[in-house]
Amino acid sequence: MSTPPLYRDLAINMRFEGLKCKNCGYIAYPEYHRICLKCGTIDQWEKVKLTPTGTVHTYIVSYYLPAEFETPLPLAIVDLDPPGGRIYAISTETKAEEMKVGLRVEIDFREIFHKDGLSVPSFKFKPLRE
Amino acid sequence: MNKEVAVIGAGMINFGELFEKNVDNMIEDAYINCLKSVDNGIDPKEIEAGWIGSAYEMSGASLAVPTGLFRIPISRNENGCATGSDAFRNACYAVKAGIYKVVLVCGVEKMRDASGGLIAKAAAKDGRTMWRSRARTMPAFFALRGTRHFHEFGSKRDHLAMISVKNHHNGHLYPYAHYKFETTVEKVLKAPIVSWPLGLYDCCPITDGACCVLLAQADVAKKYTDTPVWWQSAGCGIGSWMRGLDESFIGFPASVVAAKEAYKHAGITAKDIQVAEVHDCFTVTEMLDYEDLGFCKKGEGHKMIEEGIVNLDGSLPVNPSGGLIAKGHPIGASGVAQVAEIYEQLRGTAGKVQVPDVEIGLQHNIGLGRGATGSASVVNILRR
Repeated sequence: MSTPPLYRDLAINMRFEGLKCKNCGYIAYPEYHRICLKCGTIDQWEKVKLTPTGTVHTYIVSYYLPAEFETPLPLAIVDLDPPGGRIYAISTETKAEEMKVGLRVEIDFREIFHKDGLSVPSFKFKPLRE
Repeated sequence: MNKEVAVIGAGMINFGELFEKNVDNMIEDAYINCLKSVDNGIDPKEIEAGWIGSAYEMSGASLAVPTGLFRIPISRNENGCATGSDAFRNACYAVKAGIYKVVLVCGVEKMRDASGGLIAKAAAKDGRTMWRSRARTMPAFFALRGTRHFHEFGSKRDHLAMISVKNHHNGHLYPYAHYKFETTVEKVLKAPIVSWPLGLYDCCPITDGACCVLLAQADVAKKYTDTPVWWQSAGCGIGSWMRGLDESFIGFPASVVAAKEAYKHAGITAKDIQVAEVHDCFTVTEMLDYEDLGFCKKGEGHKMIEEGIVNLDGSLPVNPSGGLIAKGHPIGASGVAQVAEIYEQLRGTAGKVQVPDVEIGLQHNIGLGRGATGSASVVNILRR
């Protein structure tokens, strides 16, 4: 992977910003488009700050990954609290036994990996611990 | 019944770890087997166009070089893991349109030469965007649907294991399968976990393979065989779980779209299907296919295997060839090989895995793209 995508994706990887479709309420994150994926409306977006807590919609636990990942690694599709949004995220500080559909989680921005000497951060999830 | 596009021949090779063969060797073998399979014979000069389905081999030259077919148009087709069936679908349309009288479809993939392995490549930094690439694997993105299906409908790992047992049983009877062994529910459940809830025997192997089929217009088909199989219709659907639809995690909306289109143009419903080759890259995929293709209601896929309906001796046998789980999944070849199996089934030449007296068969592939967020599904329906 070359470095321009890192620059292009700064807002995604450094800030938790989404776009909300003014027609259907769909939240675009972490990909932005001109045309709404859900209803097809063109160019009717408002910028929204996403909420860094949510609920596990579904999950898996990955046992075979390249050495740079610690395994077993829980991965999940997380439904964010209002204004909403659905993301795929890898976990941090999460045990396989803790995982369940409906688990309450929080989103943390952590270093994902190094690329050409650059530290690349992005979002991960972990169980919400009061 | 549509009698415009006839399948007049099909050539398989043994799927497996073909370290002694390169991609050209595999195509040569499948092509020559296909030519020889035509009942009354065929002169390669009669082939007027070609399609090659491959995820990795670029351009029509990939088919022209090993077949010597340099005087005809050839296109390379790619549509994720639905590549082979999409190449077949496009070739059928060209014949149906009346442009070409006889065409060749080849599906091929050289999978076993990759040194890094597909998981390592995909999981780390292969994506165009960072968030998509991290820890993404194919088992993970199919397994995500399993966990949610378990949660909503009460299906279990045991049901997935039963699908593995069924497909390994069929595969051990199928002459071209990569894996030829039987297994038990207990062994499948005790196997190492790859991506919970999927274990080793819930996953298809990494397999080399190639397959060719020949198509002809109705007016010339009789020259080649007295028992052609008639292509009825096709459907194709595209999806993305990023649309935010809950259906995306209990199935594949793309398959629902593809099946609906195919049934409509064939003038049939799911109830008319008597034998099917469906996409089972993982056991969970096959369970979702039953629902998406309309073989049962949404949420009842696990009952299809529990009740034995999809077994070789059931009322709707699914994957008599052993499916991708036992036969193997050489991406571009998978769909074409499924078509070849339905062709044999409808002609009554499927040997030990023959389903008695079947008239209508369905073939289905689904693949992921865009870092496993998107999906592409293709359905073809054949009839004798």
